[in-house]
Amino acid sequence: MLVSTRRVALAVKGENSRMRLAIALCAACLLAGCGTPQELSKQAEEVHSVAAEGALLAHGAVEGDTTETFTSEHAKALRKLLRPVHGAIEDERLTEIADGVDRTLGELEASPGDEALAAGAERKLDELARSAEELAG
Amino acid sequence: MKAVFSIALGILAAIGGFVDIGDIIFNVAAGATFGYQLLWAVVVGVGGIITYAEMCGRVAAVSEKAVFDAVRERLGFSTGLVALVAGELVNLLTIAAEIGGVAIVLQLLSGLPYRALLVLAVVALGLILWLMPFDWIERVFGYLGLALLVFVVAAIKLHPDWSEVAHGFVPSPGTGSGWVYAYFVVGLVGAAMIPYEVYFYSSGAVEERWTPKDLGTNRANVFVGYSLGGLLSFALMISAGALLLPQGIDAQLLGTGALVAQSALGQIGLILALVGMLFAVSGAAIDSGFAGAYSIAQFFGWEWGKYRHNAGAPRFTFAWIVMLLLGFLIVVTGVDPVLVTEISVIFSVVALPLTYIPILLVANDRAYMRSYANGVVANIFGVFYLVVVLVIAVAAIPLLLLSNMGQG
Repeated sequence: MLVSTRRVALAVKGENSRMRLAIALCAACLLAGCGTPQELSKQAEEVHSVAAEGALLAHGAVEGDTTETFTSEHAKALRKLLRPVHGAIEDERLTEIADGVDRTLGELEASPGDEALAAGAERKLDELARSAEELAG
Repeated sequence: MKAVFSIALGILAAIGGFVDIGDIIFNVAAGATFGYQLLWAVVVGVGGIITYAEMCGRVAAVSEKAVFDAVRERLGFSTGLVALVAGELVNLLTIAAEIGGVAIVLQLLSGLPYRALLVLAVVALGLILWLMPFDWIERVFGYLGLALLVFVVAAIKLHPDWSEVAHGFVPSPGTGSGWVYAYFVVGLVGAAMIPYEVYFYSSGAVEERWTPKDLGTNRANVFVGYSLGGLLSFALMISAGALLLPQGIDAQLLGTGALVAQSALGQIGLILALVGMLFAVSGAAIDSGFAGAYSIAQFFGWEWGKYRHNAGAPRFTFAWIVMLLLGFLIVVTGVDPVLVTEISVIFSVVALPLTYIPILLVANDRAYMRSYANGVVANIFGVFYLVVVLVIAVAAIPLLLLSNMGQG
C-alpha cells in the first residue's frame, strides 16, 4: 500500500477536529455579518457593481433581447443584493446614489416590458455607476 | 457500433452533467473578479476529478463495489464512520444549494414565488428519483445540461483577448488581493472535485453492472467527458471575464451568468443558458441526493441501487428521500442558496482528503484490485492530487475568513 492505514486514520482524526473548528469559525463569520463591507470604498464598489449590472439588464430590455420575466426577477434580485450594503452606508453621497439605484431597479422590476422606461433606466444606472465608481476611488 | 454509440452517449452525459451550481457560481465570479487569470485552477480541478473518478470507476468495475463499500471494508468502521459523517454533512449542504439553485432558475423563467418553486422543485426531483430508471436520469439531465454549451458560443462572440486567455492557463501570482485570489483557487479546485461526483460515479458503475470489460468506457467517460465538461467551466469564466470584469460587475447572483449569455446572444442565449442551468443544477441535486443515500447504504451494508426498484431497497429509498427533505428544509429557511453554495464548496474542500485518501488506498490494493491496481502514472497523479487536496483542505477555512468570502 502507498500509505499505511494507521497514518490514514490519524489524518482522518485530524480532519475531524479541523472540521469542527471550521464549522465554529464559519458560523462565527456568518453571525458577525461577514460579507457586508464597512469601508466607504468597498461599499461604493458594491453599489457600482449593482448599478452597472442593472444597466446591462436594462440594455437587454431596450434591445428587446430578453424576457420580461427575467428582467423583472433579476432586477428584484439585484435590489435584494443591494439591501444589506445600503443599510450599512453612512456616507450621504453614497446613500443618495444607492437610493437612486434601488429606485431605478424598482421601476425596471415593475415595468420590465416598457422599452422607453428601460432606456431611461439604463442611462440613469450608468450615471449612478459612474458616480459610485468615483467615490470608490 | 452499438458499443461506440453507448460510449458516445456516456461521454455526452458526462459533459452535460459535469457542471453544477458550485461550478457556475465560482467560475462566473472568478471571471468577473480576475478575468482569465484563474483558468489554470480549472485545469488543476478537472485533472483531479479525472484522476480519482478513473480510479473509482476501475475499482467498481473490478470489484463490483462502490467507494463506500470499499472504504468500510478496507479502512474499518470508525475511520469509515468519520468519512461518512463528514461526507454526508457536506452532501447535505450541496443538496440544499442545488435545490435552491433549481428554484432560482425556475423563478427567472416563470416569475413565480421562490418558496412555492422550492416546494415544486423538491416534489419534482422526488418524483423523478422515484419513477425514472437510473440510466434515464443520468442521460436526460446530462443531455439537456448540454444547453450550457451556449456559454462556449457566448465566450467566442464576446471577443476576448485570446492571448490573455492563453496566459490564464499558466499559473501566475494574480493581480488584486492575494487572499481573494487564493480563495478562488481553492473554490475552483474544490468545485471541480466535489466529493459527491465520485460517490455517484462509482455507484453508477455498479448500477450499470460494469465489469473489467467496461474499463474502456470508464476511461472514455472520464478522460473525454470530464475534459470536455471542463470546457464549459472555461467558457463560463472566459465569457464573464470578457463582459463583466471591464464593467466592474461582481457576479454574486446565479442570474448573472444567464445575463452574460443574454448580452452576447440575445433572447435565445438567455433561454438556453437558463434551460442548461436548470438541468445541470437539477441533475446535480439528484446526483448528490443519490450519492448521500449510496454512501449510507454502502457503509451500513444495506440493499442499495436504483436497479432494485424502490421497494427492493427500502432503506436506501428512505435515505434519499430524507436527504432531499433535509436539503429542502435548509433552503426553505430563506438562507441564500449562493451563500450555501460557497459554504458547501469550501467545506467540501475540507472534507476532500476523507474521500480521496481511501480511494487511492483501495486502488493500490493488489489483493483487492489484482492486476488492475494503480500503475505508476495513476500513482504519480494520485499522489500529486493528494498533496493538492491536503494543502487546499488546510487552507480553505482560513482563506474563507481572510478573503471575507471572496469579497476582499
